[in-house]
Amino acid sequence: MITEQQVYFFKTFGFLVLKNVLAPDELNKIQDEFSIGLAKMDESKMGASVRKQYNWTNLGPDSPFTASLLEDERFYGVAQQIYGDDCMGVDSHANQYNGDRSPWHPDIREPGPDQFSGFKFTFYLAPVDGNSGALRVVPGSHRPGFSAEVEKVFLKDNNPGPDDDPGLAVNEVSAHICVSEPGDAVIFDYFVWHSSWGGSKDRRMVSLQYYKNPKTPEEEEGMRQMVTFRKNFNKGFKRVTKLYPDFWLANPNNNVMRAQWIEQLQKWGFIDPVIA
Amino acid sequence: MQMLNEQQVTFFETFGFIILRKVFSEEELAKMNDEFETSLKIIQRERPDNEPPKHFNWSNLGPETPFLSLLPEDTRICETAEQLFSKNVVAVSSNSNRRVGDTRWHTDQSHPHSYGLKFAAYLQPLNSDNGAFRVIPGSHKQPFNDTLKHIEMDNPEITVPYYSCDSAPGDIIIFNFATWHSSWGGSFDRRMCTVDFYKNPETPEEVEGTYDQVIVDEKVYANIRASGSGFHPHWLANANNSPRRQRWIDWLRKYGFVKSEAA
Repeated sequence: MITEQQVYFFKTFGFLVLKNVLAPDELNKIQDEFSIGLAKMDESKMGASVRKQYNWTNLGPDSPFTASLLEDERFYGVAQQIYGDDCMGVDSHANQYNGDRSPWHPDIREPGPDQFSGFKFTFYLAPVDGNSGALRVVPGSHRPGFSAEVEKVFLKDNNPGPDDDPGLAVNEVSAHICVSEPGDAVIFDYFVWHSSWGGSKDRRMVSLQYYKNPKTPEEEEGMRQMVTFRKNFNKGFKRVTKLYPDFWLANPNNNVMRAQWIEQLQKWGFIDPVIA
Repeated sequence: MQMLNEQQVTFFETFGFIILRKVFSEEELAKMNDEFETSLKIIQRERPDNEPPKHFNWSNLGPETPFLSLLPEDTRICETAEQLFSKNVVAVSSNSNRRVGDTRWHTDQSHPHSYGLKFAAYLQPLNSDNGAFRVIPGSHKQPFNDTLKHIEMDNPEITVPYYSCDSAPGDIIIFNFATWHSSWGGSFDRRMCTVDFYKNPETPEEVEGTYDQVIVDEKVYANIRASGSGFHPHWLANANNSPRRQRWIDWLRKYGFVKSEAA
């Protein structure tokens, strides 16, 4: 659980760093499961950008411990503090980056923050700082007005200006650097602008993702748009359009939270209906 | 001539600050350092010997600091201010500051409808560990600016996110008064020269904000000013008949920043 001031911090700046939330034995299990998943990757599955990124879900049978973190109260409890008791745990990803940077971007532009709310916990599996791939954020840039301003800034990598003034390199944008040690978590809003600079060729990160349950017609429409968004995201990593492995959907331990989330995910269309 | 390119203006408007590199030459820096040192020695002579190091602020608009007194009219500075705010901006100070230790998070905006820009030139190399200027990028804009008032910035469990404006002598950092800023880990002899500009008020609220700024400035300078008035008769005399300076003086008199007896 986090304090009221930390909740306010997250809502104000769009991110929050939590120190020492995973124990060394938990990190070992995550590392082991990460290696199993990575061994199944090949170049055909690498994302097509300077990030040179592999991305896969942790909800399959190879990573039961990492998948269980989504249902760990240390994490979904934080999501409940931010989005209410009926928030949804929706995914856990593993990411391996082989590029030296991730250009500036928010994770989602449409639907906008008036229609959708979500965030992810990120766990970097090696120490990272400003020159070795730590997450960089523009604090407060999850707000629509500020985000629109950042959108106007020319960025060399992915929003270049004219040849004589191509714009800023990743490390030239004024940002906060989320220095992190293994065991720390960086939480960030999907709409906050973020990047990384100077990462190694084997930078490893695991995420847990949570959505706010829609309360208004606008938010309901936003959630429907997210179904399309996520299916397209999967295509970018050459994955099948089915978002959830049968292993996770089977919920073999009858986890109550997971059962509620599966019901919600089916309702919104993230999980295809079972044809009798 | 436009001092900043379009991207620099966008950067400033987006993030509330910008760093301009190598604005001052070595020769100019030597003059700035000499004038700073001379003024500081005079101030320290007037202080008790056993006084612990403290923040000193003094005006550079007197005859003993000829180079610094002309900084507001230096086209690299005033035309940049005009480009960022409007042709009607008014230079209201050229100050030196000898800072001591940390400066906590704050803005320089005293009234929600009072707007200004500060040009800050640090005379020593600074990074995030030894007192460089830190900003919360974009914090000059509402509603972000107001939400920060509720962050417990002195709470040891809170790490306020910041960008460190590492700078070398000769650089200038320009920031919007409303931008949240601070400095941490500085020495007991951190040297900075500043020039401030206020936006000419255009609405009744901005006029009220400007009058409020007069009161605030008097209170602030009563606390930190080491000696003398902000507006030396030498500067107010405007011996070279600079039209720009005269416009500023007239404006400063109109709003009460310059009292009639100071003329």
